[in-house]
Amino acid sequence: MSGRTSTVVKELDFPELPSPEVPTTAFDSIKVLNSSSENLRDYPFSMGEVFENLEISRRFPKSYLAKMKKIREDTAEFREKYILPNIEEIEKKVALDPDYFPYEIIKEGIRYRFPTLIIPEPFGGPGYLAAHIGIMAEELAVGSGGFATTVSVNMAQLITLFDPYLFAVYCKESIEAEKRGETIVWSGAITEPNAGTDRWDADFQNQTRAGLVAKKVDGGYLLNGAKIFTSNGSVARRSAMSAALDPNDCVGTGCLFVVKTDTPGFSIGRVERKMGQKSSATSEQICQDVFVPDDHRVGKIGVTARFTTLYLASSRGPVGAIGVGCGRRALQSLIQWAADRRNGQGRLIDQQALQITISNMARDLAAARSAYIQACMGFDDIASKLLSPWYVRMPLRLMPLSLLTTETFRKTVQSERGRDAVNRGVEWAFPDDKMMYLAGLAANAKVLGSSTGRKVAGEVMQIMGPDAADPKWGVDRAYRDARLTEIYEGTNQACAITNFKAMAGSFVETLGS
Amino acid sequence: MEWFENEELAMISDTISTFSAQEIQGKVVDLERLGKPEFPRDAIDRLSAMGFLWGPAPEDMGSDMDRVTSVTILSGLAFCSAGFASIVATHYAALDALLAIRDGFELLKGVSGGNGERGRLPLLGIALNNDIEPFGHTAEGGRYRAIPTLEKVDGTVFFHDEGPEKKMLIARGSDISRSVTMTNDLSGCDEMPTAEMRLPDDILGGLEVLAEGNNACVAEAAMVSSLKLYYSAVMQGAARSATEYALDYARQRRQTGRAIIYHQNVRKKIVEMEIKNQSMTSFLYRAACNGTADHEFNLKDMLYAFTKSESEYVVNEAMQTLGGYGYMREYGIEKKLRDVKTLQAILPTTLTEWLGLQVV
Repeated sequence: MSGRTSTVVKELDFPELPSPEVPTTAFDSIKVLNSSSENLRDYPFSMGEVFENLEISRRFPKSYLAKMKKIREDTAEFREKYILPNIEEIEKKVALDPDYFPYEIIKEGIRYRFPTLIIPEPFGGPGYLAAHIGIMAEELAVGSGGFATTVSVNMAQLITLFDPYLFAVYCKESIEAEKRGETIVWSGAITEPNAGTDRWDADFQNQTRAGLVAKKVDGGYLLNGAKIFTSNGSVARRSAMSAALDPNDCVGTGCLFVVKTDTPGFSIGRVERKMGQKSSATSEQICQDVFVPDDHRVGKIGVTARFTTLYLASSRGPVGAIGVGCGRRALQSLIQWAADRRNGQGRLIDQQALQITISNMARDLAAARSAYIQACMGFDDIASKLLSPWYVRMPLRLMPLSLLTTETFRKTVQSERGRDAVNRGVEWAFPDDKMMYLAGLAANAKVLGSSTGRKVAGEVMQIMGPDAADPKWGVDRAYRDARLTEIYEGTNQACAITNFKAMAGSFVETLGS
Repeated sequence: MEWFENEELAMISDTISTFSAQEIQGKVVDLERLGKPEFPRDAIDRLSAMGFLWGPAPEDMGSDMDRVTSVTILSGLAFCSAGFASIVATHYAALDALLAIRDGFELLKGVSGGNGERGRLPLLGIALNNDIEPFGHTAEGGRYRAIPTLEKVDGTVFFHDEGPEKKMLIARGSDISRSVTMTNDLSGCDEMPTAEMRLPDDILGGLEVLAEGNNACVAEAAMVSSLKLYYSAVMQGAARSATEYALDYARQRRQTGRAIIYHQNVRKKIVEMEIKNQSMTSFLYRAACNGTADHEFNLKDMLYAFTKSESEYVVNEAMQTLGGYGYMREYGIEKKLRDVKTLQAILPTTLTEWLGLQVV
């Protein structure tokens, strides 16, 4: 960073601009996706999403709501018992040693089934979906945004859903580990040193050379390159990694791999020192001739762009929830503080200016919470559809997990025809128009939750003055934790582009009318 | 004074720039260090040798500076390190408290060891109680926040109520070290550690009294008002440097096949940041040009309230321009945000500005 100062008033040195400028996303280049759903035509001008939401709500079984309540209670208990009493000490330890990771507390999460959240009930898991993860993330973030990230990132296991064999193998592994009292931590490695937004938006993926390259060899692939800013990167035992066969064609040759982190050639680079979320370990993951067997490639070649969009449609809602949780923490602290403190006018909680501020904060948090719940429920509706056909439900009910992990099953689903069939299933469940609609909802939820959480915590800091620094209130920590939610899982600006593209089909209809 | 075309200020700005590059950059701001930076006493001593610790002292005391110069120095130092600049800002506010009282001139001569000539000044700190309002309250049980900690400075100026009577006192680390509980819980301005200072009655009774009664009230008002002016200068400097850093980064970082400065939204944000920088600068110099009449206290309250929110916006957007890199300590932008948030929170609550402002 420059050590010099500028003169008293100095103009910024902007570069010359090309004329005319080439748009980053030309409107005509956006794939027009007139929605197949009557409700969603002309979104967001038709209010059809309101009807869509109501219809979705009616499709869920009663157990969906019951599970929401259960995970909220479980997570709140975990937070009060294990996070809040220890978080200050953990933050101090990480500040001195970024390699420190609170395994003991993560292990306590086993009894709440945090490591196996997304595993379906027929496989022995609790069968939670995105909305449940969102609720869990908010409740955890009230204690620590870092813990919320660590536990939520385990959702990276979700990418194996696109390969039923791998899904079964790793569900089985996680369930067995849980029975032994162990946790198998997952990470999802997307961002590269030269590609942040370029990796998080399917349409930009060919704009930068791949930072992780896969080379086909006998029996598998050799991975070379690096990923950065990977949450759980230094503690994960399994990492879902995106790579490309041709570094100049990430879209056409993009692949997803499940990499065991004890594979020779795999190493951890820099463990990042971060502003906040210190209880979440973020690091580089480096691959030098890491061999990944053929059966650990997920789905077809060239699916990365679609999988990225789908993954983000499920994960960005919970990121918004983390922002809401951080804001909620700050607001709760403000109310307790204002009830105790007095100034020359009397008790602070009695004062109109503060009452209206608190009311505005609570309103913004409630709106952000509605947004992430809406986005998550939209995703869950479609995800449930994946499990609804008889040919999926029957084997899940009748076949023990061990049969789905046999070599015969693997050969069937990982044959070219098998992979084609799975791909068609995903395309059927998540048609382009629906996928983009959900991606837009999730992007909105992420932006709303993260920016609201950061703003609320930031304003509370200003109101509480020096008391905000007192660790017992956790306001300073909530602000630092919330700040990351505006950046990771695609910056809020990348999310805005996603949302614009999601609506472009409707705009075309509007423009035509 | 036409501060924006003042050659003398530009020269001071250049001098501070050179000082920052030589004494602060790479020494005080060591972002790769484990833990927090050490207190930059050596760099402060060099600044003192250059005469820059005199800040707001009047010309007849040997200082050739004023508040306009002082905010220029602070803004320049904050361009490199807001934490370092905050130490100097706090010292300037303590000087202002001394200058506001009848015997302040003599006291300053005493501490400087000079007689009308500019000598080296000791480094002063302040202590604030943590109450909601800055005026008229005794900290409960004699508990204050010392900024910076007592052992880092040569003297800590603070105010204490004894019944209806206010006293202005100075504490030195050696006076009360046995009764100080050190904590350092603010997450920014790492270079300026703060501490809780506990003062039992027996220790309070033994401290040097600088002023009493109305004199002390005037001095306290001057100190709080000055803190708001000087911390605003520091936040403004941090915001300007964050903007330049974001612009430099935007020229180099490529996404979607082009440097991100060629993304319209990035340019829009940087222009917005610069508009806020210019607004903060204008307001800062407007407030610095004015004296200490009653309504000018309100002006400094307003400046502080304005700069708190605007500088946070600017540094926050600069950080967002850097994406993930902005959140990592290695790049230093996150430190600027923590520093600004700390300077927002170090003084009593925003409620003071909401409820205490009487616009005249």
